[in-house]
This record gives sequence, structure tokens and C-alpha cells, in this order.
Amino acid sequence: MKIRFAMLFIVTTLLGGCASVPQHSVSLTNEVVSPKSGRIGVVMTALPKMETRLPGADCLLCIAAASLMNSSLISHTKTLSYEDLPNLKVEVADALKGIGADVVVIDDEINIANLKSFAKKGVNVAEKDFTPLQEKYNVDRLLVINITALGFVRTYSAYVPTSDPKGQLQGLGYMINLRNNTYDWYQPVSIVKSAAQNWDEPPKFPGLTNAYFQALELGKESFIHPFTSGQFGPQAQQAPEKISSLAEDAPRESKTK
Amino acid sequence: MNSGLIRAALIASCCIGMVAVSAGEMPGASPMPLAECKSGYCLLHSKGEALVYRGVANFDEAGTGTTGLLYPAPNAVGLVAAVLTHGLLVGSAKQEQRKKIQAEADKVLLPYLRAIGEIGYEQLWSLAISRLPSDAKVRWAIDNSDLGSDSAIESNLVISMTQDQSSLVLDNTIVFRKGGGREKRDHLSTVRVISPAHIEAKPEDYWTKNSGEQLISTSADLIADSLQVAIRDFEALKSTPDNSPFKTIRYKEGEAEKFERAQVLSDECNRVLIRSLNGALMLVPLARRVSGDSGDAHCHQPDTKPHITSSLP
Repeated sequence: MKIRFAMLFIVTTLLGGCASVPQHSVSLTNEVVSPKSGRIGVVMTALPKMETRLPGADCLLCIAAASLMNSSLISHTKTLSYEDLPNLKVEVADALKGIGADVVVIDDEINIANLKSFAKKGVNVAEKDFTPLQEKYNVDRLLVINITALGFVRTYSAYVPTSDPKGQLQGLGYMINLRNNTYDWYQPVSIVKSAAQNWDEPPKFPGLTNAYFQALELGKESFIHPFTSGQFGPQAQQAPEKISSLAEDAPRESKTK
Repeated sequence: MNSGLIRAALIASCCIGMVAVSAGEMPGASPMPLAECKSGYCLLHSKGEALVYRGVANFDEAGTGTTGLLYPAPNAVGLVAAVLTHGLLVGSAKQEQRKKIQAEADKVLLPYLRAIGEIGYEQLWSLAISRLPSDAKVRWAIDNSDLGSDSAIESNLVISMTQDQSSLVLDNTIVFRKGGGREKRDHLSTVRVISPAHIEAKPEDYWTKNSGEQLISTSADLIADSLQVAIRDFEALKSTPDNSPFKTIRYKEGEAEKFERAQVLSDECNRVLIRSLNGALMLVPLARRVSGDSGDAHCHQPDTKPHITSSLP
């Protein structure tokens, strides 16, 4: 009996170790972007390579079949450009300056994976330890723009495509308070845009390429909009303290999750 | 009784995806008071051709997800059969979903069914042609015998209403045929024209007052603009192709801001004429000015409706 309980405890502990609490969105407050709250550094991670993602084609043979079926699109994906996406941190910094924040753009690309894990766990506490960056960049808060996926996405159920390919931008925007390593703002961004009419027009896929650039533009707006919505800065002192996320308040055509 | 039947038919057609106004079939269709086709571009129409009204739909969320499936596959043939069956089922589900999204979008037309039903097809075309500048040289032709050696135009119209009911969007597919006849196609032009947004507390009152005056007038304006744009583009084909760079243009569709990767062909009076990546022409209200261009001075009068003077070569 004791052995059974011991086994159950070990299995539960091991499975529990695999689980992690998802980080929920954290809304921005007026205090965070106030000049009194210190200097904010704006940084980006390295941009991901353009790719055609095929979620749902999970088995090896399914992946091979799906890749073969979309080979022309996969080749075209490599020709897509980032346009002015690398300049996004400057645009976000300009938006922050526009509402009175003390901002500096950090030229370096930050590699999150290289940061150590933060010892303390808790609500709105970042998993990685950003605190050493306070001294390195001489900032009090760090606004990170982390684009995680760019290109096209087409969902599958094993061998069968369940959607047409769509343009895609996924990422995260967050601001870390470097004194306690907690999120002052956390906003996942997920933009998916379908082609207006036909998508299957190889080799240049004009409809899908247009959808990609739409996703790119909407994605950039999603990162900038929280700071240009008119609810922060000196002119918005009477505004409510918190704003909702872009998903709730912006009249956009694609939703930000 | 008769109007009740027509209304029922319109509601039914809306629920299955669109509302169509057919040539010579709808109530209110007037005899053709149109100029005889002697020169210029002859607009060919035949009975049965229809003008379709629908709602602007968003297919960004279309798709049936990534649910995994274990195939019952006792052998290779069984696996192939299972995959094919799965493909057919998913394909059918995707089509159904698109129809459902479009049908949902078409519900925006429900307050306008009566007004749409009263639009006369020929009356609308007549109004559209009257709004073309005199040098456009577009005339109506009943059949090929009217054509002579002139260029013929065939037009396929779909007009969509934005979900905020502030704007109409025309998609006009125009075929040019030189020297008459319906056999030889010289050029296919796809033109989208979007009307400026009219923000109203009661949009149905705005569009339907005076027997749908605004609905008819705006539809005619869009048709006239699309013809003008397409003809200028057709006439410019003999010249050098436009090699201006593609950039992302922000424009308005109703109150919503949209984006299109396109070449700018002309930009005036808060409207921009662009050519999209797939070659379609779009005449759209600008959301933000193209960088480095402050627009034309004569655009400051809000009601000025300019002629399209594109930079097409």
C-alpha cells in the first residue's frame, strides 16, 4: 500500500513539474509610464526567420506530406521581407516619449534564453531573471518586444488541411520592473490574416503576400497602440487608471489574444 | 401580394448568401433611357445579368482547427481510403463554414431589402453612365449589332455593405473586347471602389430615405468611378508599365482601417488609386496620407468630388 502511495506521489510530482501557470495579460497603468517612475529601456529580441507553420500535421509522415503539399508556398515564404519591423522598438519608444516617459532605445538584441531563471515564483513574476539588465543598461524598466513567429500558418488535422494558408505575426510585448522582476505590462499578440480572395496563386502568391503584410502592419500597431490610445500621459490625467488590452478596445480586424 | 412574394424571396436569397438585382426583372426597372452606342466604349448587357448586394465578410477566423485523428487503417489501401474520406469531410466542412460566415455577414442587409429590391438595374446603370465625364465615351449597347468596330465592355458587379453600415464597397470585374463581338477578350480589369464612410446614428435612415436615394446614388457613383478607372488603365496599357515600388497603404473601409500592399497610381482628395499585388485596381479613401505628399489644395472643400486624374502613363 505504502509503495502504491509512493508511486502515486512520484508520478504526480513529475507530471506537476511539466505544468506551468500561463501568464495572463497585465494592463498598463499611468504610474508605469510616468516620468517619475524612472527610465524605460526598449529592446527587441532577434526576429524569427520567415516560415510556413503547419500546426496539426504532427506525425512524421503527416509533416512530410504537408511540407510536400505546400512546397511552393514554403519556398515563397523565404522571399518575404521584414520591411521596417526591426525599427519597431524606435516607434514604440517614440510613442512612449509622446506620453512623457523617459525612454532609451537599446541597440542590442536581447536573447531571453540566455538569461538565468528567476528564483522567486509568483503572480506576474517573470520566469527569467531580467534584474541584471538594470545595471547593464542603466534603466529601471525594460520593455521587451519579442516577435516569435512570422510568415504563413495553415492548420492541419493529420494529413488534411483544415484551413487555407494565412499571413501571420505572433509575439509578446511586456515591460519588466527590474527592481522586483515583475511584469508591469504583458500583452500577447497574435495576428492572422486570410487572403482576400484566392490564395493558391504560385509562384508569387500575391493574395497571401498581401495578407502577410497586413498581419505585419496590424502586429506593429498592436505593440504601439497601448501607448498611443490617448489614455496615458499628461493629457490623460483624468482618465481611468487602467486600460483594457488592445483585444478589447481597438476596432481592429484581427484580434490580439 | 406580389410585393410580399418579392420581399419573401429577397429575405430567402439574403439568408442563402446574397441579394441580387437582375437586369429587367426587378420592380422599378425602367426602360433603357440610354444613349445609342455609336462610338467609344459600348457597354454590353443582356437580360439575366445581375447586380449582387452582400455584406462585407471577414474570413480570418475560417478553418476547422487542428484536431488530431487516428485513422482506422488495417492496411495501406485502408489508410489511403481513410485519408481521402477525411479530406472530403474537412473540405465540405470548410465550404459550409465559409457559406455560414458570408450568410452571417449578409444579415447587415436586412434593413435594406426593400430598398435594394426597388433598385432598377438599367436605371442604376443609366445613372452611373450619366455621372461619367463626357470624355469617357461609354455608351449602352443592347446586343452585338450595335457594336460596329468599337470596343465592348462587359461588367460584373458585386456591391458589399460594411458591417458598420457606413460605407459601400464595389467589386467590378470588367472585360474589354476590341472590335466587337463576345469572343475575343483583350483585357480583364478588376476594380474595387470604396465609398467614404458616412457615420450616422441611424444608418438605415440615411441609406433608405427618399426610396433609397443614397443607396442608389452611392452605388451609381461607385460604378462610374470603377468604369473610369478601368478605361484609363486599359488605355494606358500601350504605354510603359508602372515600375513604382510596392508599399503598404492604409485606407478606410467604413470606419475600419485596412491595409493593402500596392503601387500608388494617383493620390488626391483623400482618395488614392492603387494597384494591388495581384494587379487589381483600388480606389479607396485614405486613412493616412502617403508619406511626403500633402495632397491637393482643392481637396479642402469636403463635398468636392474630383475626376480621377491618375498618373497612369
